Amino acid sequence: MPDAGLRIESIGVRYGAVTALDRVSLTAAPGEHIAIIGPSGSGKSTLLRCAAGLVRPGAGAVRWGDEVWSESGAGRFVQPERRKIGMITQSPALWPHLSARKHMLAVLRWRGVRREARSAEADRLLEIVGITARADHRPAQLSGGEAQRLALARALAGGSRLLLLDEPLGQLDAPLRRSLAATLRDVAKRMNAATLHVTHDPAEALRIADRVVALVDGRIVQEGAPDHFAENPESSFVRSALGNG
Amino acid sequence: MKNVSAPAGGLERALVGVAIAAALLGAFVAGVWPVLLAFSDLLRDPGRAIGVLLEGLLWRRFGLSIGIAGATLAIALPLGLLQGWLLTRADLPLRRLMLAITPLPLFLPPLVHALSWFGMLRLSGLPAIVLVYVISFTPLITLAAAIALRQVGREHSETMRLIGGRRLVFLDDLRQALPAGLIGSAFALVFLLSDFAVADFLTSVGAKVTVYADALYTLHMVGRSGAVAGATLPGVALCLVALAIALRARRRLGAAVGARHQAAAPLSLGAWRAPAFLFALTIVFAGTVLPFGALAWKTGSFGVLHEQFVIARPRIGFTLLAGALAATIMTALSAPLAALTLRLRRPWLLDLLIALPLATPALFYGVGLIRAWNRPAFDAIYVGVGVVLIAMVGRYLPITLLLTSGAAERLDRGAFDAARLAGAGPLARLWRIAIPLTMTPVIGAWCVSFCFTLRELDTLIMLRAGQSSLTFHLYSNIVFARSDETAALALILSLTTAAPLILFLLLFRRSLRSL
Repeated sequence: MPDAGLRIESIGVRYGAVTALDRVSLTAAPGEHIAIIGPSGSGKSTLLRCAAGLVRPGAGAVRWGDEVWSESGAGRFVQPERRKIGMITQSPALWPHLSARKHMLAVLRWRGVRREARSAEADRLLEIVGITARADHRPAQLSGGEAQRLALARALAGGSRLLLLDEPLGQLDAPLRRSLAATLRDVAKRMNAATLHVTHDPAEALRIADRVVALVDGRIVQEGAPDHFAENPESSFVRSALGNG
Repeated sequence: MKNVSAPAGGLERALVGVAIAAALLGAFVAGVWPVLLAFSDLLRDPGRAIGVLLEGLLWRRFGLSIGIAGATLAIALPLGLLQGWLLTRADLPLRRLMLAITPLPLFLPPLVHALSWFGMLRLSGLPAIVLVYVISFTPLITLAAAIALRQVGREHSETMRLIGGRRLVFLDDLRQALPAGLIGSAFALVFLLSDFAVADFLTSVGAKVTVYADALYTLHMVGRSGAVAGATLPGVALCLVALAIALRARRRLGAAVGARHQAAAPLSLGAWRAPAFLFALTIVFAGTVLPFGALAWKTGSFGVLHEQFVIARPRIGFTLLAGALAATIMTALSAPLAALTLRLRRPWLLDLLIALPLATPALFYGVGLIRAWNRPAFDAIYVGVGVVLIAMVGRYLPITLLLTSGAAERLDRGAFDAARLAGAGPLARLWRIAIPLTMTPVIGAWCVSFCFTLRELDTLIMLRAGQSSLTFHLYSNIVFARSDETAALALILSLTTAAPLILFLLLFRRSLRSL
């Protein structure tokens, strides 16, 4: 069990009569990149939203090291804004009224970065994701790839320790997706952020992840290192997803 | 196992809870409470209430009003749908300008249209009543259709074009605009059933046509309060059913509104372009330019206009000030109510409750306001601008709410989640995200609400303080003043409405387009 890092312990989520997550447990160490694959409606996004605090699980606990983020029995819950998490979704959900640089400055301010350090840090993050030249542009003036790069910089600003990626590259073309996936992984590693990365693309999962998790009908059906995962598919979903079925 | 979606923090919950509770209280005090007080006469005098419902005369007048409404909508609905399509989806010259000035006839009291058309053509009787209502309410259907048609995506439109050409595009667009047009028709019906002044004026010579609202007024004037309450019931029932269907349909339509798409390009009309342009121009002309021209011609000289302006100046100030204050209150109340409707499983029920004063015949709502506020403890409110503000808020809050909740539905929830995860607390989210993202449609809702307050007559006529309004001044002058003076006053009222609308169009074009 890691001292720091994410620990999801037997969480459960129901939407009315539908069970979205059923006693799911997962850990992610700082710097570790975990890919989550699964069919539509298997609970991947709900799992990420539980880790973010945007959905409060009805059962189980979510912790970061010694911090308890959510524990249903004890009624404890830490608000999402206090968890220091970055999240990117398929739609980058940028703020249309702010330029790229102002996005960064706003987040750095909210994350408590000192005023005199904000400007340099904003420039550094925009440079890391490669959109320095677009710093004064608003989201409507950015391409799809640039918008996702800005979303990545925003997610990492202010020292996010956990990065939640909910199919962030789904709408991009294949070459851009490959290059951005590599950027995502490298930047997260450099920042030592634990990453949960939901993807529909099993090849992408095997290529970039340290560990792959398969979620079917709200349950984890297989978990392991990419090599082991590819060689020993343990469910029909994994077999068909990897083209072995 | 019970999970909670998007849980809010304690401070946020408290702030939002207080804002929603205050808004609900405001909506209740301004709208629902007076209506309930007015209906309490049913319990005090049930015999008269039942008696009037058994009278054939009431039902004949109600049937007459329904007939007028039916004839009006039978003409206004196709005209409005076609006009909305031409100004949104066709390659007509000046279509944006025409669409921008389309709302003007809607914001003028129908009485002004009656005065101008009577002045032009000496039209009177039932056909004239229907014509005036068609001119007054076609813009409502045009605007509703235009808003719906702006949601048509480019890919969808192009697919239709490839399958069935321009004809299929047109028919498919009409199919998409029809529900919005019917929603506009429901609101037109509600306004129309409350109006008494048009029929009163246009049949003042010759055979008198007494419509439903006029019948209610007569019952009120002879002091049969239980009978008024009873006679109001069919009108309220009909309007509530119409609004319930409309509000529920709008909520369903709203779900599709948030979809991201590239707007479809205007359709080339080819040989039809010239006649279509003439048609659209005629409709705009009939509702805007002609009434102004007719009233100016009837006024005759600038001296008369100036004289009436000097006399009406305090009332212009009163009307503009009351309208601006009421629009501000309505916008402030509608923001938390819109947030509440996003959380409800059946939001249209809250819409409907808030629409109760609009569904109630305006005269009867005025009776409720008298019951509620004509007490020694509320003297300051009842004799001053306070009760006028309450009347305007009660009547038009449903429309402000409709606009703001439509805007709230279109907001990207992800932008708020992203701010939250980025560490923004409730106040930071409000200040840095919610206010900038909603500012444009909120300003638009304020402008529209303000313009609606300027047309208010049917409730204000019941209130002593309402007699300071410009619309009441015009109504009373029809009886006492010369026709050129009345025309001058109607022209002043039209300009008082047109001036802010033009100002808003120039200043807040983006805001109004975002609704």
